[in-house]
Amino acid sequence: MGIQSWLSLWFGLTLPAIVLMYMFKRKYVDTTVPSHLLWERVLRNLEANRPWQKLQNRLLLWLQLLAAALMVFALMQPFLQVSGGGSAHVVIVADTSGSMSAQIQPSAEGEAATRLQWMQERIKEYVKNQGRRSEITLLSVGASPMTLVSHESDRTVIDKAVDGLRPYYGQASYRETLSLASALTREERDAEVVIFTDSYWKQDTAPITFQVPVSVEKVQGELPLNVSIDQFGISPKGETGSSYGAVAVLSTNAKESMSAEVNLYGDEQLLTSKMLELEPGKKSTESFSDLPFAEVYRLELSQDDGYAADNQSFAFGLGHGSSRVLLLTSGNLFLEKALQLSGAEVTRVALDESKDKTAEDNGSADKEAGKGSTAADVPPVPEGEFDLLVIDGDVPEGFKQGKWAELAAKTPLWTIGGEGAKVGNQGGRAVLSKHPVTAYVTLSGVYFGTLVEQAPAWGEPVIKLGDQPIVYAGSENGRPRLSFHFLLQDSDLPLSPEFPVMVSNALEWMTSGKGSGLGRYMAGAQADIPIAADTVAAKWVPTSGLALTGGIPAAEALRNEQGISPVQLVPEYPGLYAFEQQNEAGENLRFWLAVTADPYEANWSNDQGPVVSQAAPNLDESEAGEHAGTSGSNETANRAGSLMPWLAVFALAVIAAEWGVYQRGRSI
Amino acid sequence: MSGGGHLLPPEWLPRLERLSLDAKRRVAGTLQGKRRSRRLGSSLEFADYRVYAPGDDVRRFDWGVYSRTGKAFVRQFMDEQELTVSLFVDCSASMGAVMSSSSEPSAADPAGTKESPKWLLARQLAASIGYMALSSYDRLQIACYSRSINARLPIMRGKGSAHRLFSFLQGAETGGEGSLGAALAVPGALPRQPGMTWVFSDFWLEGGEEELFRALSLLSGTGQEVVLVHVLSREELEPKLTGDLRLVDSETMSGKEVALTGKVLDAYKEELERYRTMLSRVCAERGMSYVLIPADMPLTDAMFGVLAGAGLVTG
Repeated sequence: MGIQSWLSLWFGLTLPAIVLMYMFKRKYVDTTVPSHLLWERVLRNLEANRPWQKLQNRLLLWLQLLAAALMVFALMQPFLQVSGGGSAHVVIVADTSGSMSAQIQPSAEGEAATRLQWMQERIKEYVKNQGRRSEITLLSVGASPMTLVSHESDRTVIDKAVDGLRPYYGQASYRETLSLASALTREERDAEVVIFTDSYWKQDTAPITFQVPVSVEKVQGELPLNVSIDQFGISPKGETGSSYGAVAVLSTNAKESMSAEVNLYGDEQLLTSKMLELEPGKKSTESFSDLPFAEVYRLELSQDDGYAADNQSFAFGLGHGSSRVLLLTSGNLFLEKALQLSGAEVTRVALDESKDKTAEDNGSADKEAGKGSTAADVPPVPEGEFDLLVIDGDVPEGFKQGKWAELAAKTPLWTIGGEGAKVGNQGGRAVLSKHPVTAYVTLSGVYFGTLVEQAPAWGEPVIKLGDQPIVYAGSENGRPRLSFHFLLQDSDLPLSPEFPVMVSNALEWMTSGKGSGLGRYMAGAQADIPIAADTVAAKWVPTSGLALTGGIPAAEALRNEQGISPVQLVPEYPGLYAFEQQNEAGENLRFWLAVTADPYEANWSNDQGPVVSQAAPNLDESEAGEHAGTSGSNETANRAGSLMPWLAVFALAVIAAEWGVYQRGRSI
Repeated sequence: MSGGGHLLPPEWLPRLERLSLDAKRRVAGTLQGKRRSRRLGSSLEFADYRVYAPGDDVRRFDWGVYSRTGKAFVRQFMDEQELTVSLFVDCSASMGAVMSSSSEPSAADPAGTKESPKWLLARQLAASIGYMALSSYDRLQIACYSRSINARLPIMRGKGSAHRLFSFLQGAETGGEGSLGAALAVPGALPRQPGMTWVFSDFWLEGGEEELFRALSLLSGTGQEVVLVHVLSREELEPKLTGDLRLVDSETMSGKEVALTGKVLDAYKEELERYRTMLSRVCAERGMSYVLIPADMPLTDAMFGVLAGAGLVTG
């Protein structure tokens, strides 16, 4: 039960006023008696202790006092927390966003706990006490609202669900969850919503409106100290890629400057350790130089703080400094030079030469067999790993089989020209979509002769000439693919000053996923993962960071109809994961992927609870403060929570009794 | 007897004639009555023989004894004398007061002139006792008193005076403060001869016990056999008052505010009981009679029940 208007307590002054009026009241009915003789004797005792004697035995006074007290109580707008036994359906919204994993100050027992654990206790307590006769629906905040139990009355199931609450480090769906809770209770008459949260919510202007009573239970505790690694990156420094540099950005929410020690690991070997001075409210940038190559770099705070999700950060070393490009061409100097200019190591396989060479080697007279018509014509795949395969012009048949096909399947592929019906240029201006390949490029005034008509399924056109698409970009099996639907020879693009820019763009875009590190993703986000064609099983294996210490089990990768889906949801726990793919032969292929928490969750400067309002007029006190602007709270409440109708009925009964007393004219 | 028709029902008078007042003491009057006197006198009741002495009434000479014995004797007879009966009727305002609330005037009697049953009964009793005294050849004097003797009748004898008695009582009016002690202290108020004195009153004595002591002492000093007839109305015995009331004294007209509750009424009844016990005790100590007659009691019951029961009236 609560009071909405303590101010009305001032009306309580009417009570002593009534008493005063009674004390000064002089209203007696004159009655003649033969003699006072006895009455005087009788009254002598009674009159001894005036004036309080008057107040005794005065039913009317007590009734009036009771009526006045009831009115004052009614003016205070009392309400009953009907959750105790009233609502048949209680929707509990548990805020499981990343900030809930923050450690709160140790309790009296000395046991440090996270806000989430505290909240679990609170929810269980709530279900046990207030909601003991209610059906419980438990919602939690994830990437999307999660309904853990729905209309459940079995307490063990509810407790189990509450115990199963885990923090979600990704972008939490605050608003969606509240919206779902509101929608769930929209048609229900006897329901209520309780939101358990640490009240660090994203700024939200429009409140979610509920039709049922809604209350906010704060699970906050003291603000813990946090040092967070905001950024961490690795870049090659030396010409040969033998030396690497790292940059880290750290910040703290401490009130005064403090020092923090960070350790930098390369493939779990401690490389260096530094003591950093952190100023409050400032980001501190620190660089590390002369680092040896490592597949995975890990920057770690040496001591624990209140929020563990941002204490480690991962970065991936590049296997080598420059991209290696395998260029299959019958000879295209412009392309080769442009690739070299972009910093790529180009290995050229001349299509025509290889054909001649093989023909010579075999001594075969079968020169009319066509280009690459047999496997024997095909040169062997050059040694080494390639970051990009560029096929200029028609692909000989021999390159579509065997080792070449394997290479094409696991390497980003850029085709120029290619197969398809030749069509003429129908004219029109070049229309460029926004894409990394088309950055800094306009293609104005560039002439295209013959085009190849082709519509690959794996991508979208990024450059069109009028209505004719000429450049497609996309990804196939998780690897980038680019296709130019024209031969460079049929265009004056290579002569344009934009050509090297475009090649550089293409190279950069297509080799961005090189190396075994797939990059850094926010928890719960979608990631394009290159899936090898022969992969039969894949799983996420936590290898380091919070994911490993938190004991997160390896998770199976998502599948679609074709097998392992190249679009995967990254795990929800921050840390380093290995995406392990297994082919039929039992060979493992692993990619590293770092998962970070939503940086918003570490920002505790904005203590702003959920903005909710209730359509029914009796506004709850907890959000009355946060939502002072909401009008309509003064209307007569007619919901179960209000005590006003009961008070009114009771006051009427008292007044009726009073009327009876008036009529009889009795004191008692 | 025109007025007596109102006060006493006519059929009541013959019944009264068969009754007589039972005075415990021998009375001495100046005139012959029906009461046996302590002195010897001229009644038909034989008392003694006495040796004749010259000057004796020769009519009393007993010739028969003289003829047989030769001794001269005179017969003596008991002297039969009348009893002096004094009636004091309280006619203070309290006797006529009807307990009434100003907020609810009586519909039957809007002017407030309704006769108090207490006053009626007191006069009926006085008339009955007076008639009994007259019919038994006793001397009767009657007086109405409040603070002093308001009105009185000269001494009456014989049934022929009954009319005067009745009209006196009929015409008596209540008013003023009553005080038995003050009224009796007025010179000439007390009966001159020993006899029987009846006081009809509600005994609301402002002076309380002290005043009663004084009055009774005055009466016993003149050799009176005193009978106190306490007449109280039903409302006085068992008040049914409720609410916040200002109790107005009918005599002093002073008010007293009281919130009447069951507790207060209980206290009143307790106090009334104590007061009656006091009256009864004071009378018993002096060999006097005290009877309480509620005003709503029928006259017959009062006469044959209470007064006869107390041995004051014999048939």
